[in-house]
Amino acid sequence: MIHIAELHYRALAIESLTIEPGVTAIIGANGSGKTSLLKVCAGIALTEAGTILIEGKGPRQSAIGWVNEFPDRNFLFDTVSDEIASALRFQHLPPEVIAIRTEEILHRFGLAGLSGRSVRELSGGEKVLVALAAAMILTPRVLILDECDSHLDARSMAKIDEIILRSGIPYILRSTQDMETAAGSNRVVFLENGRARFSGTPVTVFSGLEETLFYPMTWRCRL
Amino acid sequence: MEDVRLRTGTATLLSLVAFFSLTGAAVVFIWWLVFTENFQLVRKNRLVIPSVILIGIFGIILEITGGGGISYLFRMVVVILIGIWLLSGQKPGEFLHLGSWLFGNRAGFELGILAEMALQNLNMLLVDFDRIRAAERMKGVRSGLPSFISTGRVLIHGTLLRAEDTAELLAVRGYVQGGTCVPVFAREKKDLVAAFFALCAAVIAVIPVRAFFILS
Amino acid sequence: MAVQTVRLTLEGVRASQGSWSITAQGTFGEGLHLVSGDVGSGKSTLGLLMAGLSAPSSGQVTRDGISSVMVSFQFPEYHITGTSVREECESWGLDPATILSSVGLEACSERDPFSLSRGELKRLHLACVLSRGYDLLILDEPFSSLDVVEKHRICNILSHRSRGITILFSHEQTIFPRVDHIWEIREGRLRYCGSPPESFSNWQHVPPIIQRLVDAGKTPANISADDLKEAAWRT
Repeated sequence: MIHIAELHYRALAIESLTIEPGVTAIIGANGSGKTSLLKVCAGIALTEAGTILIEGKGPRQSAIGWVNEFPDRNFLFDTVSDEIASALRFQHLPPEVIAIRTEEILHRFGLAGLSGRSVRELSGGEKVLVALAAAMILTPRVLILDECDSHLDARSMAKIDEIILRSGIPYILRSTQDMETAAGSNRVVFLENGRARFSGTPVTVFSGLEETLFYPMTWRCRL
Repeated sequence: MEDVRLRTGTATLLSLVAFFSLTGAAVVFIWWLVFTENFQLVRKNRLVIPSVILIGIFGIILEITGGGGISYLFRMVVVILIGIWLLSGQKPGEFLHLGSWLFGNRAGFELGILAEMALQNLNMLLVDFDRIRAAERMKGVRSGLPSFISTGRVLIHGTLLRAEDTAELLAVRGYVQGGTCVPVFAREKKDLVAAFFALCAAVIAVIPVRAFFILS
Repeated sequence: MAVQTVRLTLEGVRASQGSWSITAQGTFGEGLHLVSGDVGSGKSTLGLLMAGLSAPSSGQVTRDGISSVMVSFQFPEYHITGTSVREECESWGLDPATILSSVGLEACSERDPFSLSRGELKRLHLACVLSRGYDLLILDEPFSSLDVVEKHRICNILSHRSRGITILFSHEQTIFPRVDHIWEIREGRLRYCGSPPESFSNWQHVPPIIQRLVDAGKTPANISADDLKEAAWRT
């Protein structure tokens, strides 16, 4: 479990929140604190007050994978294989080990043919796949996706969803502006003005939001 | 020049030679005409004209206030031309290999990755610049100082945002210092020829200077 | 008094960048056009071509009766020229009070536009752009950085836009304004699908929600949220 208590960071003020294993969607209006929550969980941001424990350890002691919103801003290196291998390289692992693990993940993601290509030349969907591969190469316990679906078309998104679900990563946190995606997740957390107003299954959370525009269109259309 | 080590070494040597004497600058300019794509480089690279104009302003001020401005202008233009040659042949990832080869997998890797990111940012700035100018034109903003300033603000803001994202990415991928890198370099035969003549140019330029010192 | 019709024509237009290229042929008349397509399929490039901000590698772009053109880039920062939010509104020739109250940013009037979040900046930018009429308005991913509430609001505004040619490039899948024409970029080509609802059968990447309604025998008249709900609750 991920336990959050008395968390204060920028506009975020969460008294208590528990995130269970599975895919959890974080939704809310702009400025409600979604990105802040994700950054704190990733250990990118340090809280002013409060605790956040991922299976008993702090975020900086846990293996975290992070993919941010803009595919183009997710890259440190130029070639696909360099980028995917970056976390391993930063650990100063031997080149042979790096090569094997990079090959393996390239195949798993269907990116084998692109390994020498420049990341700038890839399509939007391919870019996110590369960023995802780079995030997953260390087999993290938590995978955090900050609105990475907002610049992706439906088919690329479906492919990425499939990879994420098959990955076996225990905790997947994704913020999204797409309520249909949220409706398809295991759990949803609705943030409002920095507080976790609703948390639970999609049915539970959205029943509280039935009068708002956050209610999924497909549900409103009885589909 | 394919081998980034040769290219960087040659560029450094030639820049120094060009900077320190007018004769040196002339000899380096001839080398530049012979061994590089010369004016094609200038045409392809958008930073040349603005850089030369900037240097030109300094040169004029120098000439008016104390003299030596024309010599300065010529020498600096040659240095710029060598700089453009260095950058235009650059392939992404090369400076990382260069850094690791020179200073190892910790400090060297770090220097290399910084250089790579600086160049990346430069490329992004050029793309941003086009969009900003287009946006301003459509808004009816006239070219001139106000437009220059607001363009600059947007470019800086973009750079800062990118830097933040990069820092976050480095942190979350566990960057401490440096990383594994096995430096790999390409090389062509003609690289050595060009490098040899660069050395010759340096020697030719240095001799008159030494003679000058001996005489005085 | 003769009224000039506005028309944008693309003839054999082709643009390429690196490994991909896009071709386009067609005429855009007055009204709201949705151009859908995968991210990175060349939508932005096409937008620049249409506005005359870049030239195609072959073919011709003709703008008839079009005297005012605006392209709204996906990143609102590109458009900022003012040092305060108020000055920014004024740079568009608009009254700051009206604009800021329409987007709830009155408190930010003296702030540096760059201190706003991207969502706020996008709201401000769209409010400025949509407050003015243009013969040709190109919106490149106007919904990016917006939340659900904001998306609906912008769609409402777009649905009521009457003058000029408005071309909306978006890969949005659920929330739309009411549009007059639907286009699609498929396999590197811009194709005209038609006007809703006939266009749905030609729209290869039709959004799942619309496809499901059509499959259920409840074809919506158009693609806005109200149209989808009306179709869904039809008896």
